[in-house]
Amino acid sequence: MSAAPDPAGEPHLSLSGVSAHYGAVEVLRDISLRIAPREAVAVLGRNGVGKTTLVNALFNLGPQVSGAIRLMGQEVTGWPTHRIARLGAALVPQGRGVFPNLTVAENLQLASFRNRPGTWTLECVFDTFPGLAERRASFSSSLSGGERQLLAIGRALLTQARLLVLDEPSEGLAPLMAEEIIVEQVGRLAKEGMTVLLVEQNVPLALRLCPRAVVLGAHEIAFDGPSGDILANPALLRRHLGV
Amino acid sequence: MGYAIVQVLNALSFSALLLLTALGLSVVLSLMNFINLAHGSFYLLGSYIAVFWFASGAPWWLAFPVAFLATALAGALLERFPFRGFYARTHLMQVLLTYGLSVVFADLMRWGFGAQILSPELPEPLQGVVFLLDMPFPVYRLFLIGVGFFLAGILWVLLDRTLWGAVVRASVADRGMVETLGIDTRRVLSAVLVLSAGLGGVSGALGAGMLAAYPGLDEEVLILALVTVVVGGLGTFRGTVLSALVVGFALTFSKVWFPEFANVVAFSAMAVLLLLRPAGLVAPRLRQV
Ligand SMILES: Nc1ncnc2c1ncn2[C@@H]1O[C@H](COP(=O)(O)OP(=O)(O)OP(=O)(O)O)[C@@H](O)[C@H]1O
Ligand SMILES: [Mg+2]
Repeated sequence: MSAAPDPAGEPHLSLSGVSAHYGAVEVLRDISLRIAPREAVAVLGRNGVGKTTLVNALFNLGPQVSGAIRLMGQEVTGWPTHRIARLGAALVPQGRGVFPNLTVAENLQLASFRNRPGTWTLECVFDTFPGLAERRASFSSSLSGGERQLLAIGRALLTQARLLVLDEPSEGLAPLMAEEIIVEQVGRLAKEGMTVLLVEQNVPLALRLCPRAVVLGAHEIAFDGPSGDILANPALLRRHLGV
Repeated sequence: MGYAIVQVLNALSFSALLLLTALGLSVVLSLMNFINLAHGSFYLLGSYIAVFWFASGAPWWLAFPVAFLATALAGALLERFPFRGFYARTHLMQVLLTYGLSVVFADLMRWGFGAQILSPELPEPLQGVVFLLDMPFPVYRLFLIGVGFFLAGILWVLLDRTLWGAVVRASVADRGMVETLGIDTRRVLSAVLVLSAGLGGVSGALGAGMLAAYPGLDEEVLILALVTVVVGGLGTFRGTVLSALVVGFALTFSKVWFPEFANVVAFSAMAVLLLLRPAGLVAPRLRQV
């Protein structure tokens, strides 16, 4: 598996002229974005600017969307969520979205309920996250925040996705734990060839993982470029990231 | 002593019937948040199917799977139209829709099966009585107790111990998240409704040997099933089991002790119980279905 991004290839995800609104409230306006296979891209922006709305628009999980969203080369705008997911996109949602009334093992097995077997198996996930293996029979409501995050990531992997979307995975985690999970674990997945779209409020953490960053301003993309350029741009940092 | 045992068994057989009927109602209510007041119609249809099946001379035990399949099919058709359009609507709209449908079905069944009370000709092996300490007890009721609790057990295994059950439970917790795993939750929910309708029908087929079949039974059963679901607490399997026992014993023994005021006594007892524990006997915990 080659781990270098492939900017010339068919993008895994492309948005052109995408607007998203809840009823009369417009959250995103005319967003265009291309993510190449094996790229790792951070999406940054202040609270409430519309990062989760962007993710939910991609998975058709609520907001009304206009414009065109293409995933793995297919136009998916308006598709039901399960069909979008089956093309190879997985979500680790804000708040982690683990099913509290299911055991750890059940949470994971659910991801292979409908998806064909692939590189990732239950045992692989337990090998990668040994902490989860010990808790396999426990209800996920009894897990710590970090364990839940790993469970949500493991579950996403078991869908055999090629594009992993994470929405604020560091939220609610102790700094060391966030560092370990995001930089080490997600970093390793990215190195192994996973395309990653990482939504984060923790700017330094996201920039260490992702070579490219997109900053959302009010309704629109305020910056899209190499991560290094953001740190060199104090006006942008102050205005849109509050750093 | 023998008399007491017989009354306990009477109560148990009534509880088994309540349990199966109430479980059908409770799975759609707690898993899909859908109130189906047409559940009694599935029950009565199952009863009529059993009455006619037993009279037909075909292998008697097939009456139960046939009642299950026939009502499941009816459920599948109703699910496509109009139930599906009402899952996301308010309870009031669901009540209006399904109550209206139940009235229509009651008329259709009266038209098709007549207005008289139909008691099934019980199959040979289920006829007669056994003597318990010199007191006679109908064999059919023992059969009802055994099959009723057995089917409830199967349902519990299906929902609590299988991956499909996990999908159902997860869909209740967070439907969108289940969809992002590539699972078509609309099909899952359809299957739950079809299962519930089938349970209603099989309850009716089992109940026919005890309560017979007649116009109006659909509503009587529906009310008892609703009471059982509410007393047990929503979304708990154990709660529904416990409450089926409470309601079954309360109704049976109030008939024994206060024949004239049986319903008043039984329902007052349940009202008091609900005042004491508004969330039901077993407040929903995470794991339970
Ligand atoms: N379901 C909804 N209905 C109506 N408005 C919504 C809904 N969800 C979000 N919004 C609004 O859309 C805007 C963007 O919200 P969104 O959750 O996308 O922000 P965010 O960038 O993810 O914020 P955070 O960093 O806090 O997660 C906010 O003003 C929010 O109030
Ligand atoms: Mg958000």
